[in-house]
Parts: sequence; structure tokens; C-alpha cells
Amino acid sequence: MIGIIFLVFVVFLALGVPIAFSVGWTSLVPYLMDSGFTADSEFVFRTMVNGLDSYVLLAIPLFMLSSSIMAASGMSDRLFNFFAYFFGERPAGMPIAVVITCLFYGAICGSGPATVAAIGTMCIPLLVRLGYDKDFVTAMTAVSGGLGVIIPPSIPYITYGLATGASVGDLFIAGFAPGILIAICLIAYVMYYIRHHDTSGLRIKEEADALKAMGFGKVFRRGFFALFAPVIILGGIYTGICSPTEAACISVVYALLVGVFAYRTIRFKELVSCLIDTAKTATPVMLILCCCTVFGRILNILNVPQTLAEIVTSNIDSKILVLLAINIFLLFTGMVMDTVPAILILAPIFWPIVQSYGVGAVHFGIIMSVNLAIGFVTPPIGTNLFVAQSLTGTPIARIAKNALPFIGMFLIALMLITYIPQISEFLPALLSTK
Amino acid sequence: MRVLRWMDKHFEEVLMSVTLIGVVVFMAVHVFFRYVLKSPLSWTEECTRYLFIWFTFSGIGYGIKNASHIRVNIIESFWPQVTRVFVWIQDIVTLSFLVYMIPAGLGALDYFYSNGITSPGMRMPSWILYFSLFFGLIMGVIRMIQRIILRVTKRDITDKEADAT
Amino acid sequence: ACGGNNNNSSNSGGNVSGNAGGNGEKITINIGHGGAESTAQQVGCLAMEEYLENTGRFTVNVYPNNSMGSDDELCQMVQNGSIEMCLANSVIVNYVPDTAVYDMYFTFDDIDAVKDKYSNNGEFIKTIGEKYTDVGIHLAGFSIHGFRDVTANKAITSPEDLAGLTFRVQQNEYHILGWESLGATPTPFAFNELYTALQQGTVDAQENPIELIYSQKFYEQQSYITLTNHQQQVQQWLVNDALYQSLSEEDRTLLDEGIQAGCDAATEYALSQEAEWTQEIQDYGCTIVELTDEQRQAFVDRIQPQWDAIKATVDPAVYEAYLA
Ligand code: NA
Ligand code: NA
Repeated sequence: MIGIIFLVFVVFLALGVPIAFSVGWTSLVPYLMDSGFTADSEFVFRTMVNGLDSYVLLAIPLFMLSSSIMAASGMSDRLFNFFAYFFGERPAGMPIAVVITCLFYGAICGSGPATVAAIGTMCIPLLVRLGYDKDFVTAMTAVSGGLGVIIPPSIPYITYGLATGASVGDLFIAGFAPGILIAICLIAYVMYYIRHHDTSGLRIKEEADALKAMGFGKVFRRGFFALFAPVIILGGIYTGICSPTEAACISVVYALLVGVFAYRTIRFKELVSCLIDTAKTATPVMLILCCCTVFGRILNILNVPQTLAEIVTSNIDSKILVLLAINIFLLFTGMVMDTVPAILILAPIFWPIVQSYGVGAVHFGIIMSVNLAIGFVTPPIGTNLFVAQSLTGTPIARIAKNALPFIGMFLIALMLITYIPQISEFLPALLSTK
Repeated sequence: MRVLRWMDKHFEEVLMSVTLIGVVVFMAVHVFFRYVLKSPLSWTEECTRYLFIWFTFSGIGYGIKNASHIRVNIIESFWPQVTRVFVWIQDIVTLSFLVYMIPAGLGALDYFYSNGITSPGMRMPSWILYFSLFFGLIMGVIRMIQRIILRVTKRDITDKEADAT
Repeated sequence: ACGGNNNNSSNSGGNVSGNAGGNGEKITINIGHGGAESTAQQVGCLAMEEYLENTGRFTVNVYPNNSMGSDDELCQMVQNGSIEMCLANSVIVNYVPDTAVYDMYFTFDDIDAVKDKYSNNGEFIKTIGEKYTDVGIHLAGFSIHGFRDVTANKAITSPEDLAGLTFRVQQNEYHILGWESLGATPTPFAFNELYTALQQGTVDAQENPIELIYSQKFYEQQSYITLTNHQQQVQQWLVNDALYQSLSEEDRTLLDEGIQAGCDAATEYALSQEAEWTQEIQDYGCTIVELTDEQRQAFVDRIQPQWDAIKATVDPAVYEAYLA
């Protein structure tokens, strides 16, 4: 039975049937094969609705909506100018400012592709104009966009918390250190690259001078509302104004206020297109999510996660080996599948396994998210690649090739994060002692 | 006819935009009453959840219309010539799932309706909540038939998009 | 409503699917509940499983951790026969409105009074049982899991202490009314965000049985647990009524006995563990506050609006049998 379930699942996926409906049919297989099976089609129907009936989930479309509004309002440009003010005059400075802008933008935006779109729209043309290699800049932005989901708030953390019962609040605290570590690794490669390339043709002086001429006061004032956003969004959670879910709503309201009153870039027309944009991207994700809830329950009824955990634990003793195997599996999954469905399908299966090796829920959540953030930039399905391609017209294969060294740095960070749990765990531990 | 054409273009968009705004507004109200006024409302949380469920299922048909449901198209990206055949398989699998689920939906609706079950917070009849998925299935079927007709009559605009993704 | 996630590999025996194998005449009982593997609910279900499987007439599969659905969904599934059994607490009021009487705060002074009221031989269970049967559910028994108590960052020794506290409650109108009557500011809040909310101060206080305060580690974020004992924590053992009626006389007796064994095991485990859990909570540095009789009376004096509201909605026969 389990063999047939997975066969149906894989065949439908390979045929390109939308994931939601592949999972839907797969969930019906046990009932179609055995009409006495607990989970009949009415069960599937009710569970699809009930699977969405969770307050925590609301954060996902709301974070998408706020990302969309922030992008339309031009927050990212002002952020970049602020960081470029500090590093702009050195050859490596401008690209480093891009990475740091991604890092910072990650703290107000919950999605990776949205981060690439927001930062890339303005930074890629600018850096190309300044004389940097287009392929290098595009690849760097596509990879750095992954920071958007590692630094909280983050849609994958919410999804993971939902799939495993881990505390979203803890994940939101834990994500900072791994995010900064990854940013450091990426910056290290940027510096290496710049050192080994001819930088005499760069025309960064005028740009840097223009920023300097504006003066710190003006750059800071212009960037203020963007710089202040994390204080509102994350501060709201950590000072007890709202839950992580409600922080998403606060971020929508904040983005609207800034876009409408401060920047005056959002009018009714822009708002409507942000809403439709969000509806278009969010509903397919949520539909997958509710079908995966059904599938997860059915696997549970069939006792699949427990059986799998028993097989693994009785055959492999080494925690290092198990984590390595799971990392490799997730990296391959990330190549062909998007983050949210991958977490929904795999987290409930892997979590009981790693749990029996003493891996913490928050730590494993970070591991999964980092793995799948790498998947954002690996072909054939790499959302960040698609976004970067749509921004610059550079073919996917060329972006991917140029992204390889960055992916390598990401992998180094992944290994550190996997085998040094303290990186993910020290911040929540620090904060949970009253 | 004008109305119908407008509905064809914007019906789901309006529904999804309104429910999404509803989620934002009621959640903001929820936080405001709890944190600022210190007198939390008991129904707003539930209200946002239900609006969100309506939001999601309104997207079934919209996603089919725009070919924007997420899928793994690894084989098609390597051998684009199979797309012509695969599109039919994808549509038939999707359509059959939607159609198969409709009687199940009727069964569930009947259960909630005839037992008079209401939601714990707003005391809203629960069938209204479950009707969202039923509605989504129906809209999905309509949009899928529409898409197939357009393809057969070679007027499908989404096929090009589907090839591109 | 419990968000536990300890999927130990040592689950209930070899449960594959519904009617697996060739034992067509065996009766399959799927039972779901919201407790983690370490809870009294699970202990009780496993005791029932052992008893029933030893008879050779039943196959029992236990699904803890809400893995089959939330408490609310479990009740729906039992009602329409998707699964055979579940354990439920106050969510049942959405299906059997007369069970609102369970939500009357401060009805019982001690646990023996609770045991007495919820005993299978009592008058009350006969009266309320009919209300369950009316909606297609057979009420097979109760297990007693102690009392619900209040946690906060201060001792709650009088209703005045509740003033101004944002107080997390379950989504249940009588609970909300109850805490309003007592002077708190009740707000429904998602259970799986509750720990973080207590940590960050999004909510100041909450109420749950010691069992959950311990397993969810709420005591780490709250410095006081006041033993208000405002409500008994009781799990109802529910069976799909159509299935129950379809059983032969002998099978029905076996099932009754099995469920009774489960209820007894759960009650015994819950009450015996309570002292141990309380000790561990104290060792962590959380203060346990007991109320004097006068202090408790001050709460009782203010709960009348809640009782009146419940009295107005339930069948008088049920109300009287409950308070008799
Ligand atoms: Na983020
Ligand atoms: Na990928």
C-alpha cells in the first residue's frame, strides 16, 4: 500500500500535475484501495478545510502582502543607499552593501524571492552601471535573497512550526545567528572575488561621492522608515504587543502607512495590484498546504513516520551520518521543489527520526530552512533564479553557474549550522531564562 | 454579457482581495483591542481564520485560469515537446480530483447543516465555512472546463505561460 | 487542545490500517486524542488497548498528539463514524450543548466530589448520556485528570489580583464569561503560540491543568501557579453510537469493560503523577500557591453570572442532576 501511495505521488509529480492535486489524489489512494479505510473522501474534504483553520498560518499570506507593498513603496532602495554610504567607496564595498541590504531586508520580509525582487530591481542595474560584472551581481543577489528566509520573520519557519509543533517564536529568535553567519560567508567570497578581479574599470567614485555629499543625516532620514521596520515588526513580538502571526499583520499596516503617507508611492491602484499579486502567489501555496495536512494525517494513520524512524534508528548509529544523509536529501529536494511544500511533506517524516538522535526541534528547523534556501538558487526549480532572470534577462543556467561559488559558501555555513547546534540554540536559550 | 465578461476577468480577484483585506483589518482590530484597549474581542481571531480559508479556496479556480498552481515541471523543462501531451494529463488529473471531491463535499455540508453545528466564537453555522471548499471545487471545475474549451478551440492564452514556467 | 509533538517510535503496537489482515470478524477501534505520549490520556488508551486486544475480539489503534485531527475534528469524526472513539474535553459543548454544565466554575471542592459526580453508576451520567445519544455519540465514561489552575507572574489570591491581566482562555463562551465575571481580561489565543506569548508578555496569565502546565513547560515562563481548582479536568470517552448499538451483547460488555479499564488507568496515572509534576515545577523555582477557604469563597461569590448563563441554556433536568 505504502509503495503504491508513493508511486502515485511521484508519477503525478513527474507528469507536472500541480502539487496540490497530486497530493490530493495520493491522499485518496488508501481509501480507493480499501473502502474500509478510516480516511474516506469526506475525511479528505473536511481535513482540507480544517488543515487551514490555524491562526499561525495567516502569517504566510500577510507576510507576502507586506513584502509586495514594501517592494512597491521603494523601501529597499533607501536601505541600500544607507549601507552603501558606509562601504561605497571601496571596490568590494558596493557588493557587500547588497549582501547586507539583503540581510537587513530579511528582517522585515518573510520571503526569499520577495527579497531578491526588492533588492535586485534596484541594485543589479546600479552595480552593472558602476562596472561590476552583470552575471556576478545577478548571481550574488539571487543567493543573498536566501537570507530573507533565514533571518526572521520567515515563512519557512512558520511552516515548519506548523508541521512539527516547534515554537515559531523560538525559531524567530534562533534565526539571527545562522543568518549572520551565512552573510559573513557570502561577504568573504565577495572580498575574495573582488581581490582576484580587475577593479580599475569601476566607476564607483561618483556614486559614493554623491552619497557622501548627501550627508549622513539625509541618507539616514531617507532610510529611516525602512531601518525602523524591523523594530516595529520584530519588536512587536519581543515586547509582547503581538504574536509572530500578528506581527505579519503589523508589518502590512506599517508598510501601508509608510507607502501611503511617508513615501507617497502607494495609491489605490498600487494597493489593488499588491492584493492581486499576493492572492496569486499565496493561494496556490496555501492549497498545497491544506492538501499536505491531509496527506500527513494519512501517513500517520498508516504509521509511516514511526516505521521509517524505527528503520533508520535501528540501522544507523551515527547522528553525524544521519544528518549528512538528510542534508543531501534536502538539497536534492530543494532542486526540484519549493520550500513550503518540501517542509510540509518532509518535516513530519524527518522530525521523528532526528528527534531520536537528540536533535532539537529549533535546530532542525534551521537546518531544513537553510537547505531549502539553497534550493532557491539551484535549477531546475529555483524561485530566486526565476526572479533574477525576470529582472535581468540573464539565462538561468548562466546565473546558476555564477552562483556556484556562493552556493559553496552557503554549504560551508550549512555544515557549521548542522554540526554546531549552539549556533541555532544559544539565542533562544539566552532569552528563555527569565 | 458585459457583466459576464467582467466576472470572468475579475470575479475571483475581487473575492480574494476583499477576504485578504478582511484578514488584515480584523487582525489589526484584534491586536488593537487586546493591547491598546485592554478589552480583547472573542470573535475576531476566529473571523480572520474563516476569511483566510475563504481566501484560499477562492484561489482554486483562479490558479487554474492562470495556470499558476505550483508544480514540478522537471521533465517538461528537459523535453519541451512532451508538454503538449502532459498538459492534457495534468488537466484530466486535476479535473477528476475536483469532480470526485464534490459528492464528498455535499456529504460534509449535509453533516454540518443537518446537525446544526456552529462555530465556537461567532456562533456562525459551520456549513458556511465548509462551503468555501465546495465553492472552490465548483469554481475549479468551471475554470478547468473553460480552459479545456479554449485549448481545443486554440484560443488558450495560458498555455504559453504554462510552457514558460 | 495540545500541541505536543513527541513522536516516540514506541507507538501503539503494529497498527497498519483499518481492516488489514484476514480477521474480518474482529472489531477495529481507532481512538484519537490530543495528549502527547507521556500523558495520562495515552496511558489510559493503551490500557484499554491491552484489555480489548486480550479478549481477542478487538483491534485497537491509538492516535495521540491530535495526529488524526484537533479535538474538535475528533468529535466530528466520532459523530459521523470516520473513527470509532476519541477523548474530548470542553470542545464537546459545540456538539452537545447541555454539556455546558461542565464549564460551571467552582462546582467541586475536592477531587473526590468530582469522581463521585462523574462515576458511571451516578444519576448524572444517565441524564447527560441521553443528550450525547441524541446526536449520535455514546458517552462511555470519564477519566479524571485533576483540576485546572491559574498561572501568572504573581499569586492570584483574590479576584482583584486578576484585574488588568490579559488572560488566555480557550475559545469557549462560558470560559470567557467566567473570567470576565472574576475580573480578568480573557482573550482566546492559539495554543501553539501560548508559550512564546507568555515569554514575551503578549498574555500575562492562563489556566490549564497541572498536566499541561508541566508538559508544555508553562512554568518556565510564569513564577506562580495558584491552585484555584476552578474547574475539573475531565476527559470524556466517546464512541460512535451507531457502532456501539451494532455490537452484540457480549462485545458491548467487553468494550464497556475495556473503556472502564482505560478510564481507571488514566485517572490513576493523572492523579498519581500530579504530585510528582508539582514537585518538579516547584524545584524549577515556580511558587505554588494554595487558597484558604475564605480566599476561594471570594472567587465563588463572583461566578454567579456564569452559572446563570449556563442555567439559561441547558435542560433543567441536566442542571439539577449536575448540582444534586
Ligand atoms: Na526574513
Ligand atoms: Na531549486
